[in-house]
Amino acid sequence: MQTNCLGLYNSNNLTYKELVDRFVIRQKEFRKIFNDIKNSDMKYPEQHYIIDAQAGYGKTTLLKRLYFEVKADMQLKVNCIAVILADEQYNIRRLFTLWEMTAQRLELESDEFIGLYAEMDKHSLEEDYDEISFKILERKLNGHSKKLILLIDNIDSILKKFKLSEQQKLREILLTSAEIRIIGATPTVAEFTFDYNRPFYDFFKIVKLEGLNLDETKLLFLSLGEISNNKHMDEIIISNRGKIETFRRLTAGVPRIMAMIFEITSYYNGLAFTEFNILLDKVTPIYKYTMDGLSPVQQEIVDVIALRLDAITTKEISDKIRMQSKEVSAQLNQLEKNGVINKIPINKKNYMYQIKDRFFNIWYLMRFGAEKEKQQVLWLVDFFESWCSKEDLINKSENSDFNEIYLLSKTLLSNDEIEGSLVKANLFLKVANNEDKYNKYINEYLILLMAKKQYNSCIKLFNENDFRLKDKFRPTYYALMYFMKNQDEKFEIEYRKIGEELEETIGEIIEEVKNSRK
Amino acid sequence: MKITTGQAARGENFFNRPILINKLWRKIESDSSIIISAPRRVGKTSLMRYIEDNPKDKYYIVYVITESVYDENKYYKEIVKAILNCDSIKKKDKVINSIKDLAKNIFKSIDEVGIDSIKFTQKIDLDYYEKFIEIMRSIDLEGHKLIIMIDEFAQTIENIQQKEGTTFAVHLLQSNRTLRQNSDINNKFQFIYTGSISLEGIARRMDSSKFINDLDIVKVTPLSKLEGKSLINELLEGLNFTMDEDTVSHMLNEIKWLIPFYIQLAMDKIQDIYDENNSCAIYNDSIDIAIKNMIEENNKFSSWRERLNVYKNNDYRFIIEVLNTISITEVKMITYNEIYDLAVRYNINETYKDLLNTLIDDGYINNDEEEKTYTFTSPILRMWWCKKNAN
Repeated sequence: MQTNCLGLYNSNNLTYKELVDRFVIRQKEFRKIFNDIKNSDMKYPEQHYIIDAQAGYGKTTLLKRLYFEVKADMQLKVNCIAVILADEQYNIRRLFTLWEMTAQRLELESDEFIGLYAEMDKHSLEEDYDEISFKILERKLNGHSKKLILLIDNIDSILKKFKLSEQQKLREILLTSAEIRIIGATPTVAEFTFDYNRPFYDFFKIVKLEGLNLDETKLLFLSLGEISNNKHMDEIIISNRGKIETFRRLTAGVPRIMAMIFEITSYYNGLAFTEFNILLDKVTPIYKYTMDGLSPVQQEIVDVIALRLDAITTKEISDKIRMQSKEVSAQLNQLEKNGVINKIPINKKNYMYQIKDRFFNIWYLMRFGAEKEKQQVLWLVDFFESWCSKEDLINKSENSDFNEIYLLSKTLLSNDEIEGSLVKANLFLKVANNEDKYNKYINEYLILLMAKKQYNSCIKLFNENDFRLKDKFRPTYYALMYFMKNQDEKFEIEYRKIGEELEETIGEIIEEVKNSRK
Repeated sequence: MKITTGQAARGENFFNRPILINKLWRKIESDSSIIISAPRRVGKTSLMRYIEDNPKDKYYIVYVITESVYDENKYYKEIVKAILNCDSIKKKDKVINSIKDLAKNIFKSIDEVGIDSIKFTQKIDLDYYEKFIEIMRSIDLEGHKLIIMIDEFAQTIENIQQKEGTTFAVHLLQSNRTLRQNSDINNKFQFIYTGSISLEGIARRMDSSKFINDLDIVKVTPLSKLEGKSLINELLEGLNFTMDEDTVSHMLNEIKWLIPFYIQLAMDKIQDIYDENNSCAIYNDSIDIAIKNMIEENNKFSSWRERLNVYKNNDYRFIIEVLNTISITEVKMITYNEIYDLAVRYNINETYKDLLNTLIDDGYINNDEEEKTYTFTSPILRMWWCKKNAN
């Protein structure tokens, strides 16, 4: 199977043509930023941008696309010069190294700037070198009537290495110099732009990249199909609609993972769940890198969080790893700042935590979970597939006993004979004997029960351990929590535990419940 | 005009406010040094840059930002550097020669690092406060007055307070005052101070209000409804969608506290809605969604809560309770008597007025002096507070 031929991990190595051909998603965000660059005369200091998205959402590709476009645009290239500082700028630790690095890149971009770094370096022992080096850069740009568009990938990792006074100095420069405009990208925007006490509070304009929706996913698949010469992509998309949509929801539409799913789909001319493991293998290097970058204590904490699909409290974590809540909290704060976990408030003092990258959570459960945890994922996959395929329940199940009781129970419920229906429901659940082939029928009954506002009866069924309904019908369970959240705080807290991968489906179930009442 | 939400608005992106600008010039012409006072995001820096870009005759304007300054000597060094590098001064031949001579005489150690900027070698440890006085004594401004605008002055005070302690921070307030009152030189310059932190608030907290009480205060008020409408219409000229008069009014009513930032932010959210739907005409429903999105984006407002962390113990509890009460009561306000009762409860009835004034200065609440009631400055802020803090 092809691996990484589509530039999945590092779009920095793609040529102009390769990158432009592949650039089908993020068009809206690209146009927004590029049009602003194009329509700005940079007479005065301009609005600086930050592209905010988790890994794999297309930040680097978008930055690179902007870089190429600024370079290629006939009108812009007269007055502007673009420099891109790609990911992993480990050597930029001080503000002056940012200017030195920029000078070196400018020298590569245009002969006009040759000698710029050497000119800076002459002053490297002087006080205020960070200021002097910028002045030299600014003067050179001025001398050549060029404005600098400085594109910085993972700008957060550079900024957080700067001392506070350097961050303040950089803000002063960006507020007062009309020669430079920064377009940064980061997976952890919150840390330095949302904190009122930090210099860059509210300073950048944030462009957030969301997961792909259904149409964008189709567009991506068609485009990748074209690039890889797969002439049957249209048909593959139609015949695998439910499965592709299942994976889109499961991965929260992360473009990088969707491209991997494309590769699997394309190679096998379809998508079967036996290939789920191949996908998990393909993402292993990415997620292993995340885990390896954590300290041993953080790994232990992430292990506890990632072995659950739902959010978990500090106390639950500290009980599990036998560490004091205070110490766990400190580690959790760090993990949140680093973008590994999300923090969800329970009340004013207490929080729950869950893995931020939802597919990382799925991967972890499948790779390190016990059978019970793996089964939770497989049920979720099963639920999504059934829900997204929207198969009608016309085909009766093979088990006529189940059929008979099920239909009777549903009819009773439709006729508002609640008690009778519930008795039959317990019966058809027993007859179903935990076999997954009945799941979609059971789910439909649960939705009808909610439509009849029988929330407490519904939760009773969910709490019946023998049937494991909560694990099997996770989105439906959370839709129930939505309807019950005003009854009691515990349901409200439960509702807040949902992972992003469930949100869209829960919303659809809630809609269906409401529509059933009409 | 383009939507500007992070950077100071300059040139054609600056929304002209003739009444405010004339008021500021009147104060300048009355020879006062000035604090431009307003909560964050009201447009103080934009106003200063407008004055700098459009100076009146007989004035040279110098803009200095001292956010990254952590000691008093560096503060005066930045001012001296800014004066010697000031474009408007350098354009006048006589003055520039006077400056170059001055600089040579005063510093005796000038290097040229570029075509323009003058820098000072690191070897000589100069007292820049004294150098500033020397420059002011000897400079021939040919009848011009030098307006030195210092942005983020209160941040500098706070930096020094954190690094060197309150005594040093207060010293900077004192030395600034001494300069303003130095009759040998104070006919040549005036200071205009501003910044994201309230100077009045920080001086109050250090019990040093007396060192700024000679300053004239220009309050940057929110826009009037008419100005709000003009700003929206100017922004619409550069956008691909339209809003009729009713929709504009609806938006202004929803925002109520018409600071340019809120209007710009709402327009930015409307632009997002337009990008999604491509509907060329925007109506009330989109305005409501845009404002909801503004509130949902917690980060835009979370600072209102975070910046209260500087208050401790009962001061903090009192402030939170006042704000919670306003946000959740049906009438959306609190009376003076109720506030006094809370002050007694928290045992701060001697000091609560300062806290109340800071809340007003920092843009949290407005007071209706006749009715003796206090409300949130903006329904948006109230809604956010109620949603995120009071429940």
